Amino acid sequence: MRKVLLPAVALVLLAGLWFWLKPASTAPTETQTRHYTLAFVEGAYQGPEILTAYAGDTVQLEVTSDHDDAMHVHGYEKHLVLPAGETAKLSFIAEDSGRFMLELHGTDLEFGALEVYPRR
Amino acid sequence: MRPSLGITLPVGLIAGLLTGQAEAHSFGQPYQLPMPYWMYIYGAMAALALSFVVLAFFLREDTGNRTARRLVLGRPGGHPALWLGRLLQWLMAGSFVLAIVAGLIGNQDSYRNINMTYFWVVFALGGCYLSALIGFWYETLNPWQNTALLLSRRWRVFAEGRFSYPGRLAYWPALAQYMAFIIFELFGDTKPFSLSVILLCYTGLSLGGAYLYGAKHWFAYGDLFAVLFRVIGRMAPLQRDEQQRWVLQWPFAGLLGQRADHPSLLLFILFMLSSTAFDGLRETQLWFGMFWKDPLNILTPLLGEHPIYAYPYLRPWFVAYEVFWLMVSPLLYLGLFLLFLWLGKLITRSQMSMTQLTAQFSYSLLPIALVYHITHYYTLVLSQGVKIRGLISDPFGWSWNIFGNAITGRLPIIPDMGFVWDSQVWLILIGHVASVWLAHAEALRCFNSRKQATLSQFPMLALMILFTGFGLWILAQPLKG
Repeated sequence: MRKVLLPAVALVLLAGLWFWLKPASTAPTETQTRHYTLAFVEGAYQGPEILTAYAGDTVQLEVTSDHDDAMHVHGYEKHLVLPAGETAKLSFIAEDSGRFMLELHGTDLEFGALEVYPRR
Repeated sequence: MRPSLGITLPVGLIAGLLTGQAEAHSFGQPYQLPMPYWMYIYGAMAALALSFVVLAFFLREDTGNRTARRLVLGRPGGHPALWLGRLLQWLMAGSFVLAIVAGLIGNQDSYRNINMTYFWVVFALGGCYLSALIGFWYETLNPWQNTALLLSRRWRVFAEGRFSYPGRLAYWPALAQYMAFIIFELFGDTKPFSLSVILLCYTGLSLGGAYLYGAKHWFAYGDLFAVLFRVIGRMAPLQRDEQQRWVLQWPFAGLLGQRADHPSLLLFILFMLSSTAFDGLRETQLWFGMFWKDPLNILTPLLGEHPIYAYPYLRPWFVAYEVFWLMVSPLLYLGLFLLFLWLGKLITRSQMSMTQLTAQFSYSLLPIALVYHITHYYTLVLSQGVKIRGLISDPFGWSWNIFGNAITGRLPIIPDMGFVWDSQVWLILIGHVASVWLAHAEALRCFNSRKQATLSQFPMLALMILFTGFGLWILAQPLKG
């Protein structure tokens, strides 16, 4: 009896705690377009360190650099050539949730991260 | 993350340099987001609640002297596939030869050369998880041990050794290798070539150890992977019993009644726990800010400027600082473990010595250590490990396509974060319950009465909640930018 009762109590406790503590979802129900502007000036990065999105959102990046370089979004394996003085654009749908490093290839500089949250 | 104290220096650039050059894992990215804070609270509260459920179970249970229940799957003395064992031994040895050669002469892109994925992910991580499933596979397939045994056919010294293994050496060589391994992983910035050089050095060390002390003793005590996989293998549900039959048992049940036969083994187990926690902690904003933001204003007066301005010459010191904390981490865990054991001894007025108690309760920490290791690294196995299939077609990264399935890009397999968070919480809770359960079963073995055993477990239970809560807390911490 005890060997059935105690696991049952444990299950009730776990389920009760889950429903008590779980907050209501704050994720938008509709997908959105997330627009970010990034710049590299004299070796320094100017822009948000963390770009955020929810799974399914479209991420649009406008990137300028004062020297020739290339940018890489890890995980999504998106590459963007950055000719000096020009604005390069990259747009993609962030389907996978997770944390993806943003890297400048010329200097191997990991300057920020794209954080894609699950829609839950 | 914004710098305090009005600093206008491009902190992102400096943080990026640290992340990219000094702090990244040797290889691969786990792509994990911090766990939502409410899940951390849930995990901690659930751990507390489940601990008391386990306690309630043991109030009227006397399972102390029971052995693990087993379902026998095979025949006694059965070696049904000797040829298969031989084949796997050669495959294992051959795969390491390939990995070493590929690193020495192949493409130096870590993601295109097979040796990085093979060693860091498939062998080092996959080996742990395979051990957790099917026990002592490595004792049969250990390529360095098998090489030593092969050499012993010509030179007996590799089997017998020149000297008897010194008792005081115990597991210290394995622990030293474990620390070196984690230092290479976290700070080594290894590339295919340097990894091959490390593996050649490790081969020299392993064969040297076998030559000095004999293969049996060296691989029982002195070798990192032999000890690590064996310790984890004790938890596996699938094992071979004394009669060499395959048996199925409850996960973690193999730890019942096990004793750590030397303090160095306890430290080895604690390092498994503390190094994983350290690896998680150092990726957080908190850890980064503790040094570079100088919140206690210790470094700024010493340097004459805020540490973040002194990055170029302070960086090696930061690495040394991190290595120091990594090395010290098992001692911090040991201090806590001894403190809570001593409290249990005090409450129960037990006559057992601390040495005895330490030996008896050491293995009860292993489930927490294993599940924390899994939650921290398993996404790496999914995102990078499975790519070994494609790398086999092009092991040197020379654009071959031997089996027609070579990798054309680096696109990883990324599990859904919701699934990752859920699995992290549940795995940590399973490990916690298993640890509490094992500790209580052990207490019933070593204390005179059920009451004394239960009393002794309150401090131990607090310790395990502390370890579990700390593990969850790290997973929920914001990561540095």
